Amino acid sequence: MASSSSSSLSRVVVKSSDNNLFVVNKKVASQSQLLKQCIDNMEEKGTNDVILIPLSNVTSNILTLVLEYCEKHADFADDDNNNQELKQWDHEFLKKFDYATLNSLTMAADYMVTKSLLNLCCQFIADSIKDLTVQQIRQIFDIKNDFTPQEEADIKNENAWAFR
Amino acid sequence: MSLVNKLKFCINEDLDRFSELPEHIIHHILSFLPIKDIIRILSKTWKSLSNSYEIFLDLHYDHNSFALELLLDSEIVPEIDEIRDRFMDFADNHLSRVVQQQIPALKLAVNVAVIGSEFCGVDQLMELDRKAKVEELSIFKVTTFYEFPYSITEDKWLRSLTVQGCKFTGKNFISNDNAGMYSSLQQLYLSRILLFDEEALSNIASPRNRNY
Repeated sequence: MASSSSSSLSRVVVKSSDNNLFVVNKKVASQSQLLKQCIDNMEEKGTNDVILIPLSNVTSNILTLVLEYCEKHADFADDDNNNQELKQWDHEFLKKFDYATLNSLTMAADYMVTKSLLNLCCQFIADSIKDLTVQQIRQIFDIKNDFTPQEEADIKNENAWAFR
Repeated sequence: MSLVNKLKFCINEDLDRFSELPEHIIHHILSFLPIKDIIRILSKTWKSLSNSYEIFLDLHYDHNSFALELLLDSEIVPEIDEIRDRFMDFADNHLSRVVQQQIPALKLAVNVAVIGSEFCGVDQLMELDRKAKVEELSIFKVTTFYEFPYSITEDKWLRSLTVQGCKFTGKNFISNDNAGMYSSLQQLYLSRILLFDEEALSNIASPRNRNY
């Protein structure tokens, strides 16, 4: 591999938990602080080889989505955060997923330290459960009620104002 | 259905999808919700989480009761200025912790009897309030009038605001191009206030806000 005087990587290879490889250019990868940190570390060492970053917690399905997000946001990296087109895209992007995917995506964003995606997912989930009844929330998220009837009654009495 | 399949089926059914998320992410999601919803959801869904998630229902910093306690506890009667400083320090430290740990507070009441025109402590407190997630804020001020800090109305969580003993001068007014400003305020209670002109109030009591 040709070595130049200033070490700079243009691409990295990211490996998903199910062993699929993704070639990602640096600008896109830098949307994830985890990947950026890896790149920075390698550059400091002066390596010009393409580096492989294994992500043991992210499946290729989810990684594809995270990278789609990073790619879009890398395009807008020089714009301010209030870009309407990007906001619209973000919303359309998340709207497509079911809750299981959304949860996995949220965890991947957390793991890969992609803060804007993490915020976006959490805000989206919060918005979608805000106006639901407790019953509906339980249904959507398959949450089992682990309170005893007595505990439930106590809580309901304590916080009566919070229940419609 | 084979036993293994059956077992798998059971496990899947028991899977609590939302609880699958680590606690810090659930906290993050909850941070986007109004406190009423947080309580409603937490208290009915996650026993473990509702024990670890802290919410202040009623946070009250009261200069008078603070002074009283101080007087009862100490042998030498402290100076009025010293009481004020210690109260301000106490309130400031406490609210700083609330902000730092991102604990939401449903109600926050501040009773100050500032002596003279030493308002910097109150300003600091209001600045902290703006960083905290507070839905109902009450400011009570005795003796001299305190200049109403318009910046607190920028807070997107603020639903109810009670102000007593303040003056509204329209100074330090924040420009209206900050989108979403005042959008959450639904109730505004004012008493014993000094109003310099109508303008000074108009932006807070915008048509979007009701029940004032």
